[in-house]
Amino acid sequence: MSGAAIIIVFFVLRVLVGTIGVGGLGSQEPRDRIERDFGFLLLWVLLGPAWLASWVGGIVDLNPWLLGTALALTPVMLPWALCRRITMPLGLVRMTYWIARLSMYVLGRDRYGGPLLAATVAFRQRPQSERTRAWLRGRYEKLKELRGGSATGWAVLLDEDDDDREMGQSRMEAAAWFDWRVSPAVGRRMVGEWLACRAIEQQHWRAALAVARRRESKLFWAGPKVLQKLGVSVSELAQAASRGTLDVVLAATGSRPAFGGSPALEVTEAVAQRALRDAHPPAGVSLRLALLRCAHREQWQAVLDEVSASTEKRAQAPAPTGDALADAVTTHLFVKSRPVTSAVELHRFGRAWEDVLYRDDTRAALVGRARALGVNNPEQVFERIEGEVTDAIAALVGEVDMGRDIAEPSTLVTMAAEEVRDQRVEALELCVGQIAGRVAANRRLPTVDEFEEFAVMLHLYDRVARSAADGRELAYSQIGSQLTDWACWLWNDRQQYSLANAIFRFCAVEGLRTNHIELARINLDNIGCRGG
Amino acid sequence: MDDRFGDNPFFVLELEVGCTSMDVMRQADKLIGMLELGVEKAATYPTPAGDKPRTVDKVRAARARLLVPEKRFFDEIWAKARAVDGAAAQAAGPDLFGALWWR
Repeated sequence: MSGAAIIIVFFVLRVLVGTIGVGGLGSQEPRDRIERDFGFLLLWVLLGPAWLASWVGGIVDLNPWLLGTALALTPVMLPWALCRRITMPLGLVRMTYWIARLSMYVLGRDRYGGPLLAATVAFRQRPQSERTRAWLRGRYEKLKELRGGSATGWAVLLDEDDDDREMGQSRMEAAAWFDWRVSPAVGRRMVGEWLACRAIEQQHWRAALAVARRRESKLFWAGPKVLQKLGVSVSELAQAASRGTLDVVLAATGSRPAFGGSPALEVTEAVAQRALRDAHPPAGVSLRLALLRCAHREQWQAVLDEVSASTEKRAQAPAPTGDALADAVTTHLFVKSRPVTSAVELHRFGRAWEDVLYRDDTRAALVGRARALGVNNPEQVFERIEGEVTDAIAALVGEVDMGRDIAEPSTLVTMAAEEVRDQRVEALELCVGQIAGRVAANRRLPTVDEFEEFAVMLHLYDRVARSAADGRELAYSQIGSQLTDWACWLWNDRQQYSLANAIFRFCAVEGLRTNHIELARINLDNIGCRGG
Repeated sequence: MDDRFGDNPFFVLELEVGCTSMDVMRQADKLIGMLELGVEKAATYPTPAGDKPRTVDKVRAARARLLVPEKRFFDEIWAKARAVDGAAAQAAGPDLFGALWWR
């Protein structure tokens, strides 16, 4: 009985704290939480003592009626615990779905999508029949409104093909744009954990650090009015974007939903900091506790150890020796034998070959050597080498983030990057053009397919942004207003408030980053709209 | 001969780029003989991208390439590569997706 009393007192206090607005910035938006807490409190006040008494009486007296009553009430009293500990690990898809429908406390922010997310996790735990898969897909396709939980669930459902991680990443990033108020915390954590694993897999340590740190930023969306209260203007946000500190400001004002606390994200932060040779990487008790709370903690520990060891023996770029040909060929070997991670490295590679192929003295020396060997047409050999070099650069340009200015750019790399950028811009324009055409013709897709288009668009946008220093600006200037129109249509005509809000949010943040202030302002205002 | 470094005939035959055609013939014959006798020392050869296994076919192909001036000139260029620390190891990031509780 005392257990029920403690739970009841806890929720009474939570409701009181929320109602009198002690939560600081959080007091702007805790309404749904107060309602949720109040509902939970009511449930426990009405049924909690009876449920606990049934358990105690049933066990003490071995009374089957009391035990039956206690068992029957368990899915009502603790639906999420039942799902998380029993039905999900056992892979019971339908049972998980129906029990999770009762979990208003954990999944209430996405009343229909949250249970689908839980069912999808259950689906992933063991091989399932085609019938079950069809049932699950059908549930997603029938959703009236896609919210954060269902968007995450859809991304998890399609995340089966490990070779298609790029698209999986775009789906997760698309899900991360949903407002926290429509995204159950468990879904947001899953998105954060997936993106952290992806960044670690790609050895993008800065991205891993950014994902890990996003777990703690404030949860609450600050609309224009709250920004005003905080003393942050739109132009200040734009300035922060140009200084590269936009994420900090946005996190502080809470406009990007946090992933929430997760031991995996805590360990990710330690991994990234060790890889980046941070002066003070997390260690000690907090890290040990985080590791203890991680599922499969031995794998996380292995990654920590591996990163610590690899930073000691990290491959160093070959130092120049003065022999242009030897330097170029050695750099070629270096970039071909391991993943190239920076544009600076790629430009260095391009410049090394330019010193061989286009400098008169080195070229004359090579022609002399060719004549001595009896080569009739050394130019043919040069052309072949040039072809190999440009092919290597073209392949690498697609992999590396070229989205920043380089002090000494290589012409070969710049030309290859421009070609890649143009192809990617074309693909992005085609995608957004098709969406615009559909909007103009009022042609509606199932909600999950609208989300899929958002994810594809994010994927293409990111590719353009990474292809050149001006890639992001170019991409946004081409598609910003069409995306806003699409989101308005989703809001006004299709009542897809959550997805539209996610697109507004994306357009606002990217508008600020690319200095399209007016469009950013429109989208910031749109984010503040209330639907439903 | 797709691998410019691992399959480079100068590395396969362990010859310097300034060697003569006679050196090429002599070295190839010597290596083929050693391989046919199963001499362990001849079974691998060092390259800037790490040690590689040597076979009789590889030696024959290397010999043939070095006797054609255009091919030899092309291979001479790639044979200028120096060994790079960590070049042999393909650094792939750890796969942690299996460590997620929900996957």
